[in-house]
Amino acid sequence: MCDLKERIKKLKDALRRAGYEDFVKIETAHISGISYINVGDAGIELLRDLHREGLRTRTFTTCNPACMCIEDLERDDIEARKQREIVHILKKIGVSTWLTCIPYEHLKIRQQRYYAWSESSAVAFISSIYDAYTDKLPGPLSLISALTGEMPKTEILEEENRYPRVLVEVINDRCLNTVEAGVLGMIIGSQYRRKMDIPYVRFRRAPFRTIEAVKSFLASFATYSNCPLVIIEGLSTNYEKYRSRMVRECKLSIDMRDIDREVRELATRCSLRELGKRTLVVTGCPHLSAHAVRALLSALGNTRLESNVWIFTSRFNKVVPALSGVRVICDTCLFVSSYIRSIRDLSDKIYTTSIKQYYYLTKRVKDLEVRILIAKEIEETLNNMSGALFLRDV
Amino acid sequence: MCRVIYMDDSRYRICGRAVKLSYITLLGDLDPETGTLSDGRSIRDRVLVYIQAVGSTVGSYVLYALAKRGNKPRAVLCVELDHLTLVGCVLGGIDLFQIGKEEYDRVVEGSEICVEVDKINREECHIAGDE
Repeated sequence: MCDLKERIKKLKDALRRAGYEDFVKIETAHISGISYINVGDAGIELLRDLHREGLRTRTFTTCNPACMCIEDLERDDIEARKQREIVHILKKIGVSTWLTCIPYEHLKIRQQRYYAWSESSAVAFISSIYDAYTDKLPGPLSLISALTGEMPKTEILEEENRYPRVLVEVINDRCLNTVEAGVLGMIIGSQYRRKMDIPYVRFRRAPFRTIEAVKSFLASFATYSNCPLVIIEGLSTNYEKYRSRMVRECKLSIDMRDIDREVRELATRCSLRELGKRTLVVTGCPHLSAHAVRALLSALGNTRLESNVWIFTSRFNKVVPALSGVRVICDTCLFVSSYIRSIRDLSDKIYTTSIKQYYYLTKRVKDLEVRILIAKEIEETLNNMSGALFLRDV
Repeated sequence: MCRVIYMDDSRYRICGRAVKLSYITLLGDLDPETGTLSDGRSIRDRVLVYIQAVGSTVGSYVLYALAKRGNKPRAVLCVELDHLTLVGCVLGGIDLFQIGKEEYDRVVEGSEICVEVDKINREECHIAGDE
């Protein structure tokens, strides 16, 4: 029988036997699945043992949201105690407990460098926008990568395997808002689910108004497809190289009617003022950027709201809202949080602005109605906060 | 086809009664506290045979917890090797073998099977009934 340290060494041999011949040194690791709601006692047990055997991260490592915000960790219930222990051990083994799914907003990501990340939306963002070499790793494998400083060189990390195989032409007559961008990600992702079906997406006009729409597009794509990379013409780093080496196997055309049809099906369009008391509006999946949080709070101003509005973001973007009913929540995300259980006390209906969140909430929350919301106040803010995100010359 | 992916010690023969599934969701189908599947079958000291593990990445932790509680199977045999099974088995010290679809099809639920590791090339193995 071997101890845990020995087994981690043996994992490399096992991965070799599984076909991963090479291992690459990583820039950073990002671990998903650290919420107690997800990992349960089994996850805590592994973390305890890793800590007990003196293992420490060998590279800068961050982690995903926990099951509650940091202030609630001081509570004395069982979930808070367990989550507190997870965060405590992660810190002890050297993880920077940022508890966010957008670590890329606070890090300099370098092209063609390797990242052992396991949050699918973040993986899609850094590989598609910065041309970082990463793959959708399971949480425990990114944890082990953090401890060893290297990751297996999977297929997608080989340059010749990153050339796009699907040409997607989007015949858009306007920049897409965050919901439309999410719907586009859903359409492309559900059409091409396989890992190596890398799309090259060409837009007729500037595609996304803001970075929040880009995040929405990629998070949604990563929800439906196993592929961790999308090349966006004019936006992705090195898109010219990828365009010239495209191995075109199929072509998909999407026009605004396709997107509008899906939006009509999934979304309700209204102002936040029109929503009643027992309604919860959730935004920030992926976590909103600092700029977006401030812009949104300022747009809400002194609006009188009957509904509750929860804005999820990273701890670095925390702002205390002055408006009653509006909460800025850090360090957690609705889907992996314990707050999801208290929603029924608060509302009969959840509105979300995220296709990814909609996908998961409809699976987990069976007895509440979930809808996508295009709220005038949110969309106008997110779309206008810093002007349109223009394409580079193509 | 039968390949050794991970062995926690240097045995040449691992035998046990087969518990066969097609796909397994480690988080949800498997209770680490009791070592039983959601359909009531125990996997403790059995040979667990499936095509592939799917679902939450937390699945690896479940295999680890299972082993910690002394409820681990004698071996896991899978057709399509996935990261969840691989990481979970290695950390939990559970012997792991990759088999072909033909070998998978030949395994009969509840029958006694043995994995015999090649004495010269320890990366190769074959599946036999208990003789």
